[in-house]
Amino acid sequence: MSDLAQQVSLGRTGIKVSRLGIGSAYGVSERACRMAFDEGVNYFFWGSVRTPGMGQAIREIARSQRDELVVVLECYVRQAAWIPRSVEVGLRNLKIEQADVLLLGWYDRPPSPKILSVVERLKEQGRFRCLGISTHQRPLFQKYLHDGNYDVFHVRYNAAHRGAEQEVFPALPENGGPGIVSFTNTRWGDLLDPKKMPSGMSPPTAPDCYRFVLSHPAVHVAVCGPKNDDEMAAGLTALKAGPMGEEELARMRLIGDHVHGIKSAMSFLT
Amino acid sequence: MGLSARFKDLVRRMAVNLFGIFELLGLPRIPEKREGEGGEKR
Repeated sequence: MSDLAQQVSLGRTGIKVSRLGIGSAYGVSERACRMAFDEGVNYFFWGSVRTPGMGQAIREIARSQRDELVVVLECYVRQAAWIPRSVEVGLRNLKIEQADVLLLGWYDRPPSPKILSVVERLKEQGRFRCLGISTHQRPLFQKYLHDGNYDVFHVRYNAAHRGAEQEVFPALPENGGPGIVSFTNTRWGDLLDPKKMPSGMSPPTAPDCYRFVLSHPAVHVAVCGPKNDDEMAAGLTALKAGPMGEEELARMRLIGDHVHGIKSAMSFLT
Repeated sequence: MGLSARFKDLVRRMAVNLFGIFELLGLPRIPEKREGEGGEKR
């Protein structure tokens, strides 16, 4: 069994998580989620864009194996008064009583005290176990770390966007820090595009991108976004292959530097 | 903040609000499965 096939503690939450997570955004099927769960994947990110396949999978798995599943419920609602409703609707939709992580999504400005107070009340009511936050403004993570309100950080990190290596990871305490989950591991697919490679180089595969991210010791989970069963099956091979060696990492960085110089449609927003 | 940064910020806020509305509406609705029904068809 490779290092990546073993579950790890999600930072100070103590929750045992698989190194690969699944995101709901690209239309992963119920069957693919089930297959991944059977292979030990338990980090299910019910994120900004929600497609029914993952919802079905969470409902089905949670019926008999809720304790083995880690459900991350993302919340984009910015009006404090509406947050409880968003959480209730999300939980009801998934037919679960409690999320393992409530993720405050895309906070490029810190949440207001009003939002934090509402969220605290929801935690007291048992609607979620741990609070997480994501932002595309990486320097903000240092403030979030200092605030101490968050148990999980969702961080954009990939071979092309390696800023977290300077702006986030060095600030993390050796023990007792937040769980670190990376997203956009393929840089919205750019790292897989043969047309965007340096001359004479073939593109990495999606599992290569996950392995790159997971080779960094600060990262606990890489969230993948499979579109279909084949992509899910391919993603799982990353866990079997294990972390990258220095030569592979150097190749990924070289490709990443090249891709970083190419504008992406999504980079406009982030 | 420059014009481009302001426009970017506006688009980002609109995207966040749109996702928030989907959450509140509980979209997409997840279809109920009948007892004994298997996974979805390909």
